[in-house]
Amino acid sequence: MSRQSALRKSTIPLQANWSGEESSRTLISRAQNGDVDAFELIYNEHSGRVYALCLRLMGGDQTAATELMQDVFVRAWKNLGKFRGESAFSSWLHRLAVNAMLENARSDKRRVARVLPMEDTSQIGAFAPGDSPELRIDLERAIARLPEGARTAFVLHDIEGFQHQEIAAQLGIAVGTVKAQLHRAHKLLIQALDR
Amino acid sequence: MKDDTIDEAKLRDLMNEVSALPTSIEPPADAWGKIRAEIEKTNQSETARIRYWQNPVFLAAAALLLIAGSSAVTAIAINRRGAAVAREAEKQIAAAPDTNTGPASLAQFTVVESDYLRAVNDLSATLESEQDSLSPETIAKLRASIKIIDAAILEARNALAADPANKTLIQMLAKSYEQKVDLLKRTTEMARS
Repeated sequence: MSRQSALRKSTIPLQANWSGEESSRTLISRAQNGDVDAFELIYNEHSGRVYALCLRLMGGDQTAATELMQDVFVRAWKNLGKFRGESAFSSWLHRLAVNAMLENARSDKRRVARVLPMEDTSQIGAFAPGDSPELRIDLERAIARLPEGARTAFVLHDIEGFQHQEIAAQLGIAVGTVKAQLHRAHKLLIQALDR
Repeated sequence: MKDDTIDEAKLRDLMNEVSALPTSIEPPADAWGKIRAEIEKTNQSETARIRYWQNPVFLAAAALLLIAGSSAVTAIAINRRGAAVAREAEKQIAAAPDTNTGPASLAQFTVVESDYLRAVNDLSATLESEQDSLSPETIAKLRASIKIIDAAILEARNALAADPANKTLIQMLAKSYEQKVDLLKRTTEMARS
């Protein structure tokens, strides 16, 4: 997969590719009734954003990110009946992704080893370049190299747009800790990117 | 003291770069295939589990176990005291509480279960001390019947662990306990008569 084809840059709302909110609800409803084909359409719509989140949470490790994303969608299928539509489906999926990542982290201590070392750029091919390729790759590499807590806070807050409170609740830590991790992430990223 | 402040201009630049990052990245092409396979596996095991407990054959078999317990009581009664006692036993079985009025939830049943277990222990102890007054044949039939009912209890218990909200299973379990208590009670009465 080339870098160019890997990029599916999205600046539009998640569900806009379907023919409106009604279609989205219909697909979810069909999937809730056991329609796997409808679930595949949901996957096609959301997998890019979920994979981007997983890739960043997993420090750029494509294998781990793919496994995490697959876990997220299998969990989503099993728990579709619990989705009542109170929140956006994309937010619900993102929460599943974070929960899955946290559970995996608890059960797989080896994940620490997946954090990329400074010189290792072999794993970051999935991060596609945009208008300024060097900047993007440098930034993705720097994010991947952040300590896990700082990286999680940064990805969820600055990239995914979660509020401090939401992140604290999801991670089971204090809001102050989230802010401190975020501050640390900013500081480390600025240092890493200071050219 | 270590300076922990962040240059605002640099932070702004960083945020500008972050906002330009792609929000969506294409996952590997074969990722969906594995998800679908996992979903289908999950569906199959779920279907099998539902089939197991909603299968009329299983339910009929479970009902037969209960009937077998009742029949054994009747058979013991006939051996021991003849047709008059058998008629009395049949009346008692007919008067047994309707399973539809049993505990509605596992939480309710757990409360009732401790009463059943206490009754079973008390009756078993009494029967143990008075078994000399029963024929070996009666004791053998009693043990066989208890074994059948215990198997039904174990089956229902295991199934409830997988499906705690299933009211049919809860009622089936309650009915099995009732049969066991009833069997022990009537056998103890026979031993004393």
